[in-house]
Formats: sequence, C-alpha cells, structure tokens
Amino acid sequence: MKNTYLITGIAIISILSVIALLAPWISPYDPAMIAQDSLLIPPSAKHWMGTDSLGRDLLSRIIYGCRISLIIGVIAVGIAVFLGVILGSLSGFYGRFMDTLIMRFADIMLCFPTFFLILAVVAFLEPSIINIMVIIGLTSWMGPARLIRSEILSLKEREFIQAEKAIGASSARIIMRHLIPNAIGPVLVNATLGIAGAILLETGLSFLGLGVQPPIPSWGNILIEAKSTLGIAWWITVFPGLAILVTILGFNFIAEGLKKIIG
Amino acid sequence: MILNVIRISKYFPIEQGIFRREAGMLKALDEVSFSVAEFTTLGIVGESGSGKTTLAKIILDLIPATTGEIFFSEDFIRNFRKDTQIIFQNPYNSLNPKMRIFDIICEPMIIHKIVDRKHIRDKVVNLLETVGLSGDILTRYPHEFSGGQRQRICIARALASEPKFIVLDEPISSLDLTVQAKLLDLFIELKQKFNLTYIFISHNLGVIKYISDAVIVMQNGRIIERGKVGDIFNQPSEQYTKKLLEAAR
Repeated sequence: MKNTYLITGIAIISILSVIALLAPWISPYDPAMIAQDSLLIPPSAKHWMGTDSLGRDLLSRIIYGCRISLIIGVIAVGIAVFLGVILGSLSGFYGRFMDTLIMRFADIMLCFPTFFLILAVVAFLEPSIINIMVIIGLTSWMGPARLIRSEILSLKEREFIQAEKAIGASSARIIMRHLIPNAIGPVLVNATLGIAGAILLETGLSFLGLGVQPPIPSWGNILIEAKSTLGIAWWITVFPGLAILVTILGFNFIAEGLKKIIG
Repeated sequence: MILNVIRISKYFPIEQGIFRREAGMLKALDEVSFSVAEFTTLGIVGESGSGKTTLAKIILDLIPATTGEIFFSEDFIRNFRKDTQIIFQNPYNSLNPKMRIFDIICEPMIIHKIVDRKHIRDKVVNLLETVGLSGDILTRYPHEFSGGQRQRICIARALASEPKFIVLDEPISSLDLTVQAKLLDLFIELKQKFNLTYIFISHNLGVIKYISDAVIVMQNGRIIERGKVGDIFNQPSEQYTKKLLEAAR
C-alpha cells in the first residue's frame, strides 16, 4: 500500500526535527550575534538567507526558531490530547451527569474566540514559552474530548466491552485497556492537524508581540521584525514564511495519510 | 438449583419528541421466573425480540432489571464475576481488535489471580488446545481468524476464569452449518469436562433439542411454556410452540 501523503509528511517533519535537534551544531552563526558590519545583507554564499536589520544571520535564527515552533506545537497538543482523552472518556463512559457537566463545559470553552482568550490571558501572565504551551493546550482540548467521547459512546455498546464487564474488569481497566486504544485513532489524526494549528497560533501571538519574546528567535517574532524592513529586505519575510508553510504542510500531510490508514 | 430467577421484569422507556417525554413503556421482560439445576442445560427459545438477550444480560448483571431478583447458589457461585461467564452471538464483535490473543485470554486470569505469572503462558496454551485451536497463535490478532475460530477464542476466554455457569447467547447462530455442529459438540464436551451449567439461548429448535435438558419458550417478554425437552418437543401445549416446531421442520 502506497501512502504518498504519509511518507512525504513524515519525511518533512523528520528533517525538521533533525534540524531542530542539531540546531547548535548545524547553524552557521550564533542566532543572537549582532554584527554591525553586516546589516541587511541579501542572501549570499556567506549568509544563505541573508541577515536582518541587526546583522544577525537569518538561517541560524530560522533553525533555532524551528526548535521553538516544534516544541510548542507538540507539547501544546500533547496537553490538549491528554486532557481531551481523559475528559472525553469519562464523559462517554459514565454518561448522564458526568457527560452533561463535561460536555457543557466544553461547549462554553468553544464559545470563546480562542485567539482573543489566549491574548487576554497572555496579557495578564508573562508571555513565556511555557505559558504559551500551557495556554494553547488548555484552550484546545475540546476537539479531542468530543472525538473520543463519540467513539466511546459507540464502542461501549459493543460486545467485547460487555464481555469485559462479565469477566469482572474494573471500569478503569475497561477505559484504559479497551476503550481508549480503540478510540484513539481519529484523535491522533486530529492531533497532527492540531500541531499545525498550534504552531500557527504561536506564530500569530509572537507576531503580535505576545508570544515568544526576543532575543529567543521564533518564526513569529522574526516576522514581526521583518515588518519594518519589508520594502527593502524581502528575504526576512519570505524565508520564515516558507519555513512555516513547509512545517504546516508536513503535519497536514501526515494527518491526511493517517486518515487514509484509519479510514 | 444453581440459579433462581424470580419475577424479573425489564421496561425500556419509549421517549418521544425533542423533550424526550416518556410516551410509554416497552416491556422487554414481564415477570419472568425460572430456575436452573446444577450441571444441566436450560434452553431458552423464542423469536427475535422476545427478550432472550435482555434476560441473559440481566442474569449476568450487565444491565439492571426494573424489578425482580436473581439468586445464585452460594455453594457453586462464590465469586460472581469469576464463576459466571457469557458468550455472545457475534464473535466479530466480541474480541478487542487491538489486543493479541494471549492478552485477551489471560485477562480474566490476571483480574481474578487464577494462576501465577510463571504458569500463565502454559495455561493459555492449554485453554486454546482445549477449545480446538493450536497453541502457537498467541501473538496474533483477532482479525486474522474466521468466525468459528473467533468464537473458540471467546470460549477460551470465558473458560479462563474457571467458571461454573455460562450463558451462551445464540453462540452459533452467526456461523455456517458445519462450524455450528462442531461448536455444539465442543460445548457438550466442555460441559462434561469442567462440570459446567449452561443457559443456552437460541431461536433454532433443533439445536435446543440437541443440547438442552429443560426448555423454556418465550414470546414478547413472557415465558409461555416450560418443561423437559422431550415433553415440549413431543407434546407442545401452546399454539405458539407448535408453530415454532412446524417452522423448524
């Protein structure tokens, strides 16, 4: 079976992960090194992606930014999936009062325009990487929760779950060993798309100055710095933009490929 | 008697409209009483919708009854979840598709601490051979097996907790005829080997006649006729039973 989407997606994300892991060894310059003699140099042999208005090497900054973006994407979605799976399975398995409580709470959370909720929260807390990951995670568990709930609602009527009850398996055992492994598929597809979403969210936040703070380079805050030199230095907007594009594409390809496998 | 079922009823509310107003009650079971003698097989026969499966689930406490009581003899059934088991109609739905055969069968043993870890593998192989499967399928998954093989795996899982009493809920009706006959003989063999008591649910009178000692006939949630297997088949008193017999011929 040929799954071009999945293979392409995994290839893109693996390459990016390797780049992120090896950032200190493969980046040609220190990403924070300010060089007065090399301001706004266009892409050249010495600086493959040029330099910014402070003379910092853009390639090195994008390589380090890759780290931040991937970490934020993966951990934020990790938090969201973890919460979503727990709340969704409790909701689906126990039903009744528990279901009403959790699902109405999810509805309330879904009513907020997430981006502005995050903006408001970040404005009160300091905008650190950890805060951003936690906030994105706490505001995006509803999708996974709903998915896992609906899967469990149909699974728990299946005979193998009835058989587990007859064997004497505890509710915890039924949920952990039988329901969640069979319900997790669609959630994983959703999570890969979620990683792309979280990376975009972080980029947006950083662009507004409420995300990752300089001097730590992230794709979002490279872009905000590019804004002031947009007319004279195209490379500072184009390369981070391309990096974001390729990453999102990679995760979306994986999601598409997984969807085909899971069906 | 190993099991006494006393005036069990099960009503399902019929909900209507967007406010889920209760529009009435569906009487799935209506004052059903019977008992099962140890080491015998009670056949329950009836058309679909007559409440057989609901009854099976209530006996094993998988769903609650609306009214009525169920008593198991404490001489036989000491640990309810260990000593009673069920086998369902559809073997394609009865096994967790994400678990290996070994994990499926050893689960009851782990839950009830039947054997210590060292001997668990031998016991699983032993069970598989008892139900007519080979012992080298431990690491395979349910989707690799046919319906009959899967039902055998279900039987092995049910036997793993060393039960005294098993409810067989149409255990062979979804399989093809040659497999049906083999499984029926396996049930009889296992009953003698492990001193089991069965409730065997079926809509097939021929099968009931072959395996049962006593029979109850159900229609619309009620027991309309009961007796020894020979009496029911030779001299049915109810019109409905006669019709069932004619249909089976």
